[in-house]
Amino acid sequence: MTEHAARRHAQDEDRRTDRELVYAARDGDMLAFDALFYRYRDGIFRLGLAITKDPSAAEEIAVDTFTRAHRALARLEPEGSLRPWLYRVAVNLSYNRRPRKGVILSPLEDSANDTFQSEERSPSLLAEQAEVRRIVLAAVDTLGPKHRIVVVLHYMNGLNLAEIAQVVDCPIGTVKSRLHYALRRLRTHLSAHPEFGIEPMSFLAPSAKRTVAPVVEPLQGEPQ
Amino acid sequence: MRLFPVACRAAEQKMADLFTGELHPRERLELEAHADGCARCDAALRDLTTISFALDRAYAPLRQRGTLLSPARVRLAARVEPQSTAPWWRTGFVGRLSEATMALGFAALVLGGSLDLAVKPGPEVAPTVAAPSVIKDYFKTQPPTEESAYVRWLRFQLRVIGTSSAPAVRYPVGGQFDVEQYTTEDDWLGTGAPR
Repeated sequence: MTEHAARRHAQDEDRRTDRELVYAARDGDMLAFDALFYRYRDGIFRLGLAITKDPSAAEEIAVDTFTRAHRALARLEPEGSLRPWLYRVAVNLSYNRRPRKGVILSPLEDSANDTFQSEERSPSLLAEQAEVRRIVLAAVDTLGPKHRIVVVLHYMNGLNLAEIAQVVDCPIGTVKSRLHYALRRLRTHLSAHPEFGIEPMSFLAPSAKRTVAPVVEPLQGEPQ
Repeated sequence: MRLFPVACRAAEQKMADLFTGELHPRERLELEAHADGCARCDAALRDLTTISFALDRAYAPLRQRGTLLSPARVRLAARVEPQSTAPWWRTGFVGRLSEATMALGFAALVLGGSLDLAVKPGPEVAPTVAAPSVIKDYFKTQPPTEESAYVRWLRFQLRVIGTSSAPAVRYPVGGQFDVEQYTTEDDWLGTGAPR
C-alpha cells in the first residue's frame, strides 16, 4: 500500500472514536495511530507554535508528543477524547524546551501578515491590524505561564473550560479564575495603548474609587 | 421577566462566565442591567469585551496554520517497524532462508553461464559428405555373379517390382541383400548350394 493510499485510509478512519483508534493501534494497527496523528497534528503544532514561536520547535514538539503517545499506548485509557492528554504532553514539552541559541524566532504577527496579504485591504488598515496584533501578543507574553497557557488554549485552540481543566489538571473554577485574571491583567497592560480605547483604571473619581475600593483590591490581586 | 440586581462582585463573576460562553441569557441581561447603573462595571465590561475580541483576532491567523508532518517521523522516532503485508513464506526465518536460497541459485546461474560463455567455440566443421560415385552405383545395380546370390537378387527384384510403395531398387548392404535369409523353399532350382 502506497503512502498516499495509507494516508487516505487513515483519514477515512476518522469516524472511529479516539478510544477505538487507541485500542486498534495497541493491537498493532499503525493506520489507526496515523488517523490519530492526522486528527490532532495541526492543533498540537499550533499550540507549540504559540508557546515557542518557533515552527521547527513546534514540529519537534508534535513529533515528540506522538512518540510519547505511541509508547504509552498500552496504558492509555481515553474516556472520551485523547486531546486533553496530548495537549498536556505538548504543553509540558513546550515549557520544558529551552530556546535554541542563535535562532531568530519568527514572530506570530508575521504569519498574520502573510494571511491577510491576499485580502483586498488598504495598506494602512493592514499595518494597523498588524500593530494591534503585535501589541496583543506582546501583552500575552507578559503573563505568567499558568495564565498564558489558559489564554492560548481558550482563544487559539478553542478549548472550553472543562477541556482546559483536563489539560492543565486543575478544577474548572481555577481555570475560570485564571482566565479572568489574565483578561484583567491584559486590560491593565493594554490601557497604556490608546489604539484599544481602554480607559485606565484611574479614570474613576475619588468618591467612586472609595465606593468600589472593596471590589478593586481583589481584582488586582492574585486569583484564589 | 424580572431581573434581580447584582452586586459588583457578582457582576465580576458573571463577566468571567460571559467570555467563556457559559453565561445564561437571563444572567447576561442581569449583568447588562447592572452595568447600566454602574460606571465601573460598565467600563470593565466594555474593555474586557474589546480585549476578548482582540485576542480572538490576534490568534485567528495562527488557527489557520498547519503542518505537513508525516507519521513516518513519529515511527522513526518511536522506532516502529512498518507493518509487513508480505505472505508468510516471505517473512521471518522462512523468508530469509528462501531469499538466501534464491540468491545462491541466481549466483550459481550467473557463474555457470559466465563459464559457458568463457569457453570459445571451435571452428565450425562442415559434415563430410562423400561425393556421389556413378561407377559404384552402376556396379551396385548389377546382379551378383554367384549363383545363389543371383537367385536371391532376382527374387528381391521381382518382389520389389510387384509392390508399388517400395522403392524400385534396394541396394545390398555389406555385400549382402537385406532381405529374408535363404531358406529351403528358395532351393526350387535344386542346386543344393549351402546357405
